[in-house]
Amino acid sequence: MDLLALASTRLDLVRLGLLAAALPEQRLRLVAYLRAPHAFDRPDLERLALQELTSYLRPAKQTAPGRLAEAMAWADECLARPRPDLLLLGEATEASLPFAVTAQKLGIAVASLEAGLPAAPEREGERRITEQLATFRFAPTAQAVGWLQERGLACHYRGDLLAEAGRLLTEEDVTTALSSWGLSRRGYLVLALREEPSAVPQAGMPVVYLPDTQGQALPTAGAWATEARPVAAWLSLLLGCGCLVSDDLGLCRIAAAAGAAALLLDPTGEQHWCADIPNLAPIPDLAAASTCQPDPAPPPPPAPRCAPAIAHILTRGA
Amino acid sequence: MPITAACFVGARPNFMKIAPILRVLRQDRRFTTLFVHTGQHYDYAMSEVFLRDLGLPPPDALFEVGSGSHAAQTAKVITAAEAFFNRHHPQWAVVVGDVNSTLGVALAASKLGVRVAHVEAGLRSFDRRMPEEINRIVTDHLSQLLLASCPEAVENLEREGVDRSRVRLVGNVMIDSLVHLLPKARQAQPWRNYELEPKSFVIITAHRPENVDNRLQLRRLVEILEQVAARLPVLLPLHPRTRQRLQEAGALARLQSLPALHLTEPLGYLEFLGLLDACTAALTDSGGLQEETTYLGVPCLTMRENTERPITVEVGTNTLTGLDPGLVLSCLDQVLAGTYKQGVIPPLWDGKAASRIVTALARSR
Repeated sequence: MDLLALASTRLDLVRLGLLAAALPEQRLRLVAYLRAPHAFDRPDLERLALQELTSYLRPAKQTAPGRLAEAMAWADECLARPRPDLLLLGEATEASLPFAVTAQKLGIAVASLEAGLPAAPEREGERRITEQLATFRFAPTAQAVGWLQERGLACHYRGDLLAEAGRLLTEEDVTTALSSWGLSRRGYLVLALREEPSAVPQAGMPVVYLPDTQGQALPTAGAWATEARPVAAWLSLLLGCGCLVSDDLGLCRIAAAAGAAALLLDPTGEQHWCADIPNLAPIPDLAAASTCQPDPAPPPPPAPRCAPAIAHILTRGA
Repeated sequence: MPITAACFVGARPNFMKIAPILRVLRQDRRFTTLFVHTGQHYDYAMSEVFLRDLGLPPPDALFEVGSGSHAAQTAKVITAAEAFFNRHHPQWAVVVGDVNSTLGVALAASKLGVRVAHVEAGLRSFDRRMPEEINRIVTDHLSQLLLASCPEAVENLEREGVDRSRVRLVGNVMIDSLVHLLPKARQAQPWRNYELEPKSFVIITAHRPENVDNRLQLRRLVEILEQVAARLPVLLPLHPRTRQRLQEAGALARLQSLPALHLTEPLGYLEFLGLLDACTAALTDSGGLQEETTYLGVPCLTMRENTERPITVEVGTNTLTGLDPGLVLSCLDQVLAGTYKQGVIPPLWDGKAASRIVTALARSR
């Protein structure tokens, strides 16, 4: 079976790394839509047992419709020849919808690996349409299942791929990465926000600032900021932290599954979809993160059930 | 301050839907109207004859996107529509049907915050192999105002979780064009051009890729054409794609030699409507023809396995036959024997849909 995966963020690499390990017999080609300055470096991909990128697009257009048109034409190039059996989509980005539309018109099945959970506000509309078009929908949480069902969309519920992110690294990998920064397990707070905050939470431990999921570092007063490259270092910071404060549900799910206290910044109070995720709670503002208390005895990583189950459905269904 | 509504067409099936809307909009002082042709169908016979017949004005803008793959064509429409929206800043982008232009305009509009009104929203064939089905789904979910032609379309949208407050059941706007132009079409008596008599011939149209691009399916289509022409005179306006495929398969000359088969170029709207009204039955794989025949009470045999217009089968004169020669001939025998089903005209197919659409646009300010 020939699979083509669209990756746009490092969270996508995590998902695809886990799936690639569960699909050893299949050909998994990777294409990347890159809006951030960083690229998916070859060592990163090798570390996750992913093949080198077969194509990537750094959009040149400055406007949203311009980038959409660019992505649509690029999707045609990526999907038309050689034509894969299945397209894997992770996070909703500007390129997800053009890829889903083009794939469906070419008769290629589409799998949405993050179905039912909210995307960034500006991507919400596209996320919902992509789910509508998808052939396979994998809901990471029980709430996501219910939410899809409300829209009449059937889905598979086999667990959360991101919750298994810890399986991509060994304990030693994480410890080595943390010690290179002078950090100890559970002894620091990670702040990961789409926009730089005006202040950082005072939680009585060092604060590491990860500016956004794309990896561009920005200075922030009161916190030590890092671009956290390569991807293994970035993932180590998430897996080893005592507390994560973020507006990104995906990052929160990784940290929460690894035992950190994950606090989802939600000023609107609307993100009620994390209610069924252990160790994850919404907070209205950064001040609320000051009470964060890491669990001194975090649980072991979950058994690798989700990725093999998804891989089984994909290979059987496609 | 008038509301600026930009009305878009891209391909021939769009023209008869936008014409009545444009007519009503231009008589309504609450609106300033712009008419845009994306140039998706750029062949004169396929496009400009229709514009003339329907009394459409020259477009205020012509994108000239031309042909290409679905994605390439859509990308060109997005780019051209962006420039248009940035120049004219309309409050509404009115799109019709399910062609690539419909999708491209809706995508560009949604990115720029221009509200999209989709005419013919909610139709579903439930066949994802049809590119039009993808265009329908995406356009509906991008639209702020979904203008449905029948109750089934409203139900489809509700099933997909579309907010009911965005949906209006307005009826079938294509029938507005038909009602408006039928007297003129009848008066022209176009069957005389082909030495045909009313109610003594069959019209056949076929253009869908699944019917003409596949050699096996094309052979079945040719078999149907030959067998129908053995019973009744047949008028076959040839879509350029179909002509090319028949030529490639070596079947065009054979069909041209059949005395009862009249092969023509694509016809203008008025001429075709006059012929459709006068024919014994229509065989087609198009979408709009299923509706027009239902309104006219003309038996329609649709050479597809499914339809996004089930109301034409349930209450109208339409039967899905696929490319099954046996089924086509058996239905045709019923037509000739006078035992074929008699349809009724669905509710709100009354020639007033465009007025309801314009009212909906004005109220959704």
